[in-house]
Order: sequence, then structure tokens, then C-alpha cells
Amino acid sequence: MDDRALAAAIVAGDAVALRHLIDRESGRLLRACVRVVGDVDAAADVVQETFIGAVAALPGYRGEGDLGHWLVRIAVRRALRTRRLYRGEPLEQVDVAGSDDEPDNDLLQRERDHRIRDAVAALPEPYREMIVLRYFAELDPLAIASATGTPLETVRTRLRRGLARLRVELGDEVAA
Amino acid sequence: MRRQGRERVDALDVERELVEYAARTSTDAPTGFADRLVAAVMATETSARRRRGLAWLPRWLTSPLAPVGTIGLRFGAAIALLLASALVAAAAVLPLAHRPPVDPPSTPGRSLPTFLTASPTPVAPRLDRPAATASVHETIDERPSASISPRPTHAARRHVTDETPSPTSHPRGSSGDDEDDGHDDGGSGGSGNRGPDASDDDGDRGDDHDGPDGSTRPSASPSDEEGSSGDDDEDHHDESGDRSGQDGR
Repeated sequence: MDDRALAAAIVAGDAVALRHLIDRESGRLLRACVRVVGDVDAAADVVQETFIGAVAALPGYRGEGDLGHWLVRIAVRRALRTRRLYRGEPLEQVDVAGSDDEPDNDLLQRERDHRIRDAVAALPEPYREMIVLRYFAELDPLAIASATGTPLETVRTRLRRGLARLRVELGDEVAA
Repeated sequence: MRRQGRERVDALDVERELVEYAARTSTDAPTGFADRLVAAVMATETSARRRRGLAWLPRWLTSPLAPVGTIGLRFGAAIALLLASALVAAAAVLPLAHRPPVDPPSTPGRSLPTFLTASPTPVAPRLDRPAATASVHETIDERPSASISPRPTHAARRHVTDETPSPTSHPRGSSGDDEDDGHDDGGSGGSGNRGPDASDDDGDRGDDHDGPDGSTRPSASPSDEEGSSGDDDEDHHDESGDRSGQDGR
């Protein structure tokens, strides 16, 4: 079932089609939101709000572009907004694999992740969205160009400049 | 050249850092997460549909997801639905005066048929004729009598005046002086009773159920959530792409 038919079925109230879309996209959306927000529960809430809002807006979906990319973009925007709302509060509870043996390294790693999230969230638009879609949502530049309606070369330029700005923000963090 | 090479190395460092971060924070969905999402979306959508009422109608009519060939069918069905609801509303609003009179209770000893005891339904005068047409009718009706038959002499006029008018005689055309007789029936058309079709608000029943989507529906388009802040050193081709891409959906 292609995206257009899937969207039409969901608009018509087909629960099976809705379940299919959620099964297909929820994992990717959750991973992207966790990387932005830093907390699994908060990211799950963001994903839920994303699906609710997207299903309500599905009648306006014209079948142009990938439905999953459209959802990811909505989710990333919502996650960035949530990140701003909770700025300064300890949201980061993401488990780091293999950190039981060295608690000091675990603490350093958590601090490092926290700084990366902050640096990405502090980027100006449009660099922030490009960086998040590329490295947190794991879309390739072509998919980003399709999802955002931006020329491919522009996407590459923004990614390069966004990385350069991140380098300035992170400073010695990267060099270490 | 050296500066560009340094930037590239820095970008690679940061890129590697981001990729490692993404690998570290790659989490699986909690158990039952999809079930929770389905339940939440279905509950919200069901209540929203109930709340929206007929607001789905314009969206359904213009939905780009349906085949183009069914647009005429959908419009026909929508018009039929609106007409039916307008008729129902008009029937509920019509005053009791427009309904046929109730038969009077029959007195004992008089067993007349029902259609004789009922008050006769008044024959509506020519309601559809406006007042202007009636005056034209009068003018046309009077002119021949004024031009063909000469005005009666004084003696003849006195003879006519002295006569007691018969209640059964119709004076039309017999005398040029009685200009107003017999023409009253044409001018009262403007106050005729109005049937159900004359109601002004019958056709507007569905207009206040506005479609959302926009309005009532939550906006899920990424483009409306936040704007770009712009940047000083953006390339020229970036700007053109940005404007075309912000509202890609």
C-alpha cells in the first residue's frame, strides 16, 4: 500500500491502516525525538502528539513526498519545542550502553551528550533542522531535500555550515 | 585553501561525534508503545469527529485523496443532503396557520359530509402577480371603453345615477364612470402567503460548520510551527531554496 492510499484509508477511519503506519514509523520517530529531547518518556509523548496531529491533518496530505519523512519533520519540530520548554531541567535519562564498568566515564559521557544536545538545539534555523534531520532522524540529504522541499545542494551547504557552527559551539569537546 | 581544509576536518570531527552520539542513544520503543499510540489516536479522532459534526463535509468534497471521477457524485450527494436538511428544518419552522383547518365538531342531527362542514379553503387570489401588473391591467381594460363608447349625455348619466344598483349586476364595462369597480383583485398579490420555499434561511443550514482544517483542526504542517531565524552568511541559492521549501507540504 503506497502512502497516498494509506493516508486515504486512515482518513476514512481504517484502524488497520493506522496501525500499519504507526508500526512502520514510530520507532524512527521515537529515536529521533529521544536524541533531541534526551528523555524516553518525554520523547514518547512527543511521538504520540505527532501522530495525533498528523492524523488530524492527513486530509491535507496530497501524496507528494514520503509520508514517513513528513511525520519525522513534524516530530522533530515538536521535539525541539519540547526541548526549549524543558531547558535547564534534568531531562536526560538516556541509558548509555556498556557504561556499568566505568562510572566516571558514564558521567562524562552523559555530560558530553548533554552538551551535544544543547549545541544542536542552540543552532539557528535552518541549520538546526538540517542537522537534526540528518544525524538524529538519520535521513540522507536527498530525503531531507524531498521532505523540506529544499534543493539538494542547498541541503549540503547547510549541513556543512551547521557542522562548522557546531564545531565552534562544542569547542574542545570535539578535539578531546 | 588551508582554511577550507581545516573546516573540513572540523566538520568531519563533529560529524563523527554526532554519529557516535546517535549510535549511543539509539533506543527501542517501549513495550506496548504502538498499542498506546493507536489507542490515543483513535480516541482523539473519534471524539474529534463527533465534535466536528458536519465539518467533514467540505473537506470530504475537496479531498485530493479521493478519485477525481467521484467529485460530481460527491457534490450531488452533498446538495441532496443539504436540501433534505433544509426541508426538515422548514417543516419544523412552518407556522400552524399554513396547515389545513381542523374540521369543526359535528352537531347532532346534522350528518353532513366532512367536506361540507369543513371551512372552505380560501382560493388564493393571483398571488404571483405583482401590483404593477394589476395597474397595467386596469389601464388596458379601461381604455377601450373610453375610446369606443362615447361619453354618455347628461340625461343618460342622470338615468344611470338614479337607478338603484343591483347587488348582482357587475358594473364592469357598462359605465365609464365606475373606474375602480371590479379591479381590486389584481393588486393584492404582494401580500400572499409564503410557502416553504419562500423561507430565506432554508439553504444556509450547513454554512456555519466550517471546515478545519484548518480552522478547528490542529495544524500538523511543519511549516507553521516555527519560522527560520535566517542567517547572515547564507548563500544566495540557500535563500531561494529556503523560501520554496518552508511550506513544502
